[in-house]
Amino acid sequence: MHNVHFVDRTVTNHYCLLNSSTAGIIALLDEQQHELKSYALKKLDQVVNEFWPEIADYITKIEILQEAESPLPQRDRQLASLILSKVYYHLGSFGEALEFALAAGPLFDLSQRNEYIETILAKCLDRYIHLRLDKTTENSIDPRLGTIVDRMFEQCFKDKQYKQALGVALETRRMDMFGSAIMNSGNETEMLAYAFRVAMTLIGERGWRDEILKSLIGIYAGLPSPDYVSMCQCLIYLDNPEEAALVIEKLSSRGAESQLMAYQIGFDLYESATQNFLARVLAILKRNQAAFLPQPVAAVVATPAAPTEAEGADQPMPPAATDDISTAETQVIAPEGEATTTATPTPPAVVAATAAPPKVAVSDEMKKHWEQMIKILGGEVTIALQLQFLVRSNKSDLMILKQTKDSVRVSICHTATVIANSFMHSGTTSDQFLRENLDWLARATNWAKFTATGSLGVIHRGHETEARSLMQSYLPRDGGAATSGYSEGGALYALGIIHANHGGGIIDYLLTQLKDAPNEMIRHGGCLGLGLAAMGLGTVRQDVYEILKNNLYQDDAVTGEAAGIAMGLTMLGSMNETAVTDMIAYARETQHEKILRGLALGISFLCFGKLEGADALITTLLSDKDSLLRRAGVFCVAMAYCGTAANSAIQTLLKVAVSDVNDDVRRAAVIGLGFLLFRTPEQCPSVVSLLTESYNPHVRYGAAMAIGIACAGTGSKDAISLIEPLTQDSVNYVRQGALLASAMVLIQQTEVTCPKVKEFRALYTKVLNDKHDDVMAKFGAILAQGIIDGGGRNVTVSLSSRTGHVWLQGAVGMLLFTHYWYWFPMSLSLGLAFAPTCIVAVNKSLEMPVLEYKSNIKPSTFAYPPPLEVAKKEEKERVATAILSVTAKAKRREAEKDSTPATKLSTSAKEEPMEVDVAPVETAKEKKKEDKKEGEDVVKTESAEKIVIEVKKEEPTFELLKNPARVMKQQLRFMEMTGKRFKAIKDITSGGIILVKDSNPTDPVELVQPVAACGPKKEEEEDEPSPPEPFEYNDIED
Amino acid sequence: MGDKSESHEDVVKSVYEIRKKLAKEWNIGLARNYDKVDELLNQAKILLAKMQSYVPLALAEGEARNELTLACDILELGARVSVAKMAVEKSDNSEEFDRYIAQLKHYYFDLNIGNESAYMYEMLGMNLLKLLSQNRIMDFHIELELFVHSNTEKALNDPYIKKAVEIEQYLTEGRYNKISALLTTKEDDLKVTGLKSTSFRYFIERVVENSRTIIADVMEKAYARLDKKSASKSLYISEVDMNKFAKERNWTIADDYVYFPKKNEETEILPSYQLVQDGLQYARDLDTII
Repeated sequence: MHNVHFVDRTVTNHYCLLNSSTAGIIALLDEQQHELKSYALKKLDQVVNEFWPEIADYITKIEILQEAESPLPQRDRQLASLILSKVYYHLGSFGEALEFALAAGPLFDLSQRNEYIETILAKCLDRYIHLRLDKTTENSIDPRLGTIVDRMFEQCFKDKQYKQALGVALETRRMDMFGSAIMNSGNETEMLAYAFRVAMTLIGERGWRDEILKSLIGIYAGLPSPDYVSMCQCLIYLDNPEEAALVIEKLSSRGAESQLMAYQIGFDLYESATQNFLARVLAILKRNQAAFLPQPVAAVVATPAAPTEAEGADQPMPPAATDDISTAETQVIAPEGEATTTATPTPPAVVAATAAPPKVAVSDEMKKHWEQMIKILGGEVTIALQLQFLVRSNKSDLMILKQTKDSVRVSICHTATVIANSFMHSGTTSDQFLRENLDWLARATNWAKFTATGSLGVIHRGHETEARSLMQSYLPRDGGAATSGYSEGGALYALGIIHANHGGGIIDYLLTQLKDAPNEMIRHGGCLGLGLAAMGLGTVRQDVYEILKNNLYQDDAVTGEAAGIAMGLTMLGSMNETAVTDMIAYARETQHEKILRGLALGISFLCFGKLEGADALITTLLSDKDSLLRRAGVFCVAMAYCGTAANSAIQTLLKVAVSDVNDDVRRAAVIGLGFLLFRTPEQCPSVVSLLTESYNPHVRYGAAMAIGIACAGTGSKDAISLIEPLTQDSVNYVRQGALLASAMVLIQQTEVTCPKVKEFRALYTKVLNDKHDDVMAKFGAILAQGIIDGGGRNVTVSLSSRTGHVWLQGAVGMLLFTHYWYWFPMSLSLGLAFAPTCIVAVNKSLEMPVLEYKSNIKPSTFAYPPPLEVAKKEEKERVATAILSVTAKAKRREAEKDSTPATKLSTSAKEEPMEVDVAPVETAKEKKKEDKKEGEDVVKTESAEKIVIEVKKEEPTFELLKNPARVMKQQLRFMEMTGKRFKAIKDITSGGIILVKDSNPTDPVELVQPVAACGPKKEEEEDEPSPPEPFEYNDIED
Repeated sequence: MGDKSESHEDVVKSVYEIRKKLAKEWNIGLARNYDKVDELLNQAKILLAKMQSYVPLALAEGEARNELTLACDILELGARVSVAKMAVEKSDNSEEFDRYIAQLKHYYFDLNIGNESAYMYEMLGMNLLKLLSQNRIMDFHIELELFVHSNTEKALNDPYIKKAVEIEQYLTEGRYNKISALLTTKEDDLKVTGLKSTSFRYFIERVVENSRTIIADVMEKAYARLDKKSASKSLYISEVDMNKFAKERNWTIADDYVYFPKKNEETEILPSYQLVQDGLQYARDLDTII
């Protein structure tokens, strides 16, 4: 009871030591009796946070007390350490503070949340991480340090801060804690997604990331319902096609639903993986599943000792392998060195599977399944579906092009118009504009002709089935009449673009053409085409590399440039030693700057995604005397650390950007920043903001492009506010860069999502109509027009895939595009970076069923921009008033009768937004005619406006989109499936191609009718306002 | 709580008992057994710690306040004991005394026990004298300011404080004769002026001795020899005591002269070369900066 008299220390922190000091307490330390000393220590601990300056004078006294020789009991020694730790913390020497905190043992209480604990804990973690990373000291980590870290994890788990625990586990490389942080969280899916994101975005070191991914795969497989989709994403990164193939095989053998999942994985693999990876997966599948595939493989089938059932096909080791798919996988994925339970431990399961192919009754069903699977992995299905989407939803506005064509006078601008046309119609196969302007087109000569022909490749991108026949009239003919070769070269280039990253059969054709090419133009086109088509094939097609090398060695400037680029493309991301030495050696030898420029790009492609693996090469190149080789080094940084936002790489580039003597190198370095940062676009504006104000126009141009690349498709306000002043720059090419960048940032943005869109569109028109503006800026404006309406307004510019990975094709295309600075035809390769924004649902036979999605947001937020109508300005004005008039009328009627008009108003309001694909202007026009007869005053604006607001309220908060649907990235999260029949197999908010399960498989399925390629026929006018929709709308309301 | 409060009361009780024993032992006078006193004091301190009255961090009311006063009382006694011990051992080691004073100050100033203790100013005065005796004039003033400011009138009129301030004044002014006069004053006379404490007197002795040492130091430096008479006069020392003092300081006395031993004074060599070099270096650095 007596203690009550003394104010408890938890109640107040204000002690009665105001007048004097802690001297009295400190004096106690000198007493002989241990009891008194420990008593003093307790008191000191209570006041140390306020009186540390005094206690600091007596630090040595307390230090003596905490020493091991001190006669005090252990607990008091720890208390002394704790006091010391606090004093040192206040003194700012954290090293000592940490030491003593460690010595304080359990008294260092993590459950308290104050600045001291947090700071010391942070220091503790830093030290721990440092020691963990330092391989030499790995075994000598202070056990006390380990204890504190362990306690910290416990504390995190107790406080349910699993994400924090996970982050710390990753930093400290404690895989045990990593696992338990995920498994204990109670929300594994979210944590796994988080872990994956962290691993992919924040972990820079490749080896370490691989380890994390391996353990993630283990966790995915161990889930009650294994997450195969994510698993395969990891496998792509681990470059482990064997496992990926195994997963597909397992799923394929487990019934219809799992087969759908297998398809889904196939699509995801195609979207995210390299050609090389896919080729290896395919090879394995073709070998293992030979029985189901058309080509006869006699030798393998006759092996004895095969499982009897079809299901057993993938379970190579009957004694141990269970039916449980997840256990089987965990065995395989278990870390190396860990003894598996299988009978034959050494060879991986896959090898065993190949060794013992099953002898099974080949069912038609399985046969069909595998055929489809192979097609999916081969990419044919994806390409066809996307092409179909782009063709049928093409909304490009020819009016824009027509105006541009009529207003420009210089040949460069005409070339630009051709390029812009190809951007606008990228993948839509609509060459309407070109067909309508054949005379104009025919005036293109020399390289302009090359570009024009090449642009067909962009328009027909992915139209692989008819590529050859489409390009027939331009391609080199046998027995080659002596033509100039520009259009032939362009045609070969076009073929390459059509087949970019999906070479297939066209490679051989291009190879032959290149071999027989009579002149440098054809060789140029051939090299580029071949490089694009054979992208990333590496040593699989050594012959391709060899022929490109031969072309390079001819030491012809034009051919050499293309060959240099193409060699890099073929060996993309391989870091192939012979390729590196070949190319660098030749780069040092050649006299042609053009070749050197090509090689610079090529070399950088070699180290694509290699991270620190490319550091040695980068250092050599960056320190070279030749500015072009330094530029190659800069590109290498951009490609090797593509999308990682690695600090070291950013530093390197920034340093070059401000200190190199050569403008080209500096410009490239700044552009490179865009490549590093595109996965974290919000970072980019702050990094380059100072550079946009550089005195050096090359740096300013680079900064604009970097923003354009990093923030592509985001509509970021920060980005726009940086670019905007650059569009008024005094230097023409800076304006050009700013215009291009703005288009990349604003692509697919509507006025709702980014209000500046309208201004910029107007700016493009203004620049190219301005007689006094420079050709350079005009070139930029025309291209910008093409980019912002790219792919029939159904694509976005993207360097990362839907899953957030680096999208190889996009990144490569973008880097090639930046080369337009030297060589206009290269600008066409931006087409590679166009990614269709769509959701495509397909059923198990890989066809699109008719179904609808619900987009839970106002239709206007993501609507197409209205078509341009310039010639009829008057009418436009009237259109604007039309809405007012109808509402004004409604208002008037309302005054007359209270109830009746409301219904009409609401029905018309409902109708209007339902016509999603038709521009609202259309309907407005009709109403306007109606209203005109009655005659009305449009003056009552104020009251009318009120009604407008009311009407807007009634604008539905959602709309229904038909399969395949145009859904923008920002829109994805509002999407959901409607109807009961089809169920998506994975979350549709990820977008892309999604398999749906038919819950009613016996009923006939209504399929989406394919639309013919090659542009709209004349008579087809988009005017029908699809009547059934309102009914379905009501249906859903129920 | 029952057990605890009971034991707490027991503790308090035993502290009171120890206090009694201490008083008894103390009152024996010079013949007291210091080992036993120390033993008792230690016991008391441990018990005080147990009852949370030893340098507590919070104010207390009522009964607990009595306990604080008790603790203060014991500590004051302890301080006295420590001074007595110093006197007996003829040592300069004031550590123990310092500790007591440090703890007491906490009671006086933070816990406001001061007004209840009759000995506060005596203790503080002793501390002041101790500082003087150690030649710590600066600390003396700091110490003085710390408690005088709150109650100037009372503090400065207290005989102990007054005396201490007076002595300090003499010292700074160099009026050593006044100080030595203090010593010749009879103990009873001192008591008349209110200075009853014998411990306090001990510190006056210390101060005189200290000033004597200072004078002696100066003499050594100033003279090679000095006639005995002037020497003893300067040191305020009887000629008899002079011999003893001379012996302590290794002075030789012959022919009525005191000879001071020559000390090999190591003249400090200025590192002139180094200084010149540094100067040049700074100049050069400045050059490069500009």
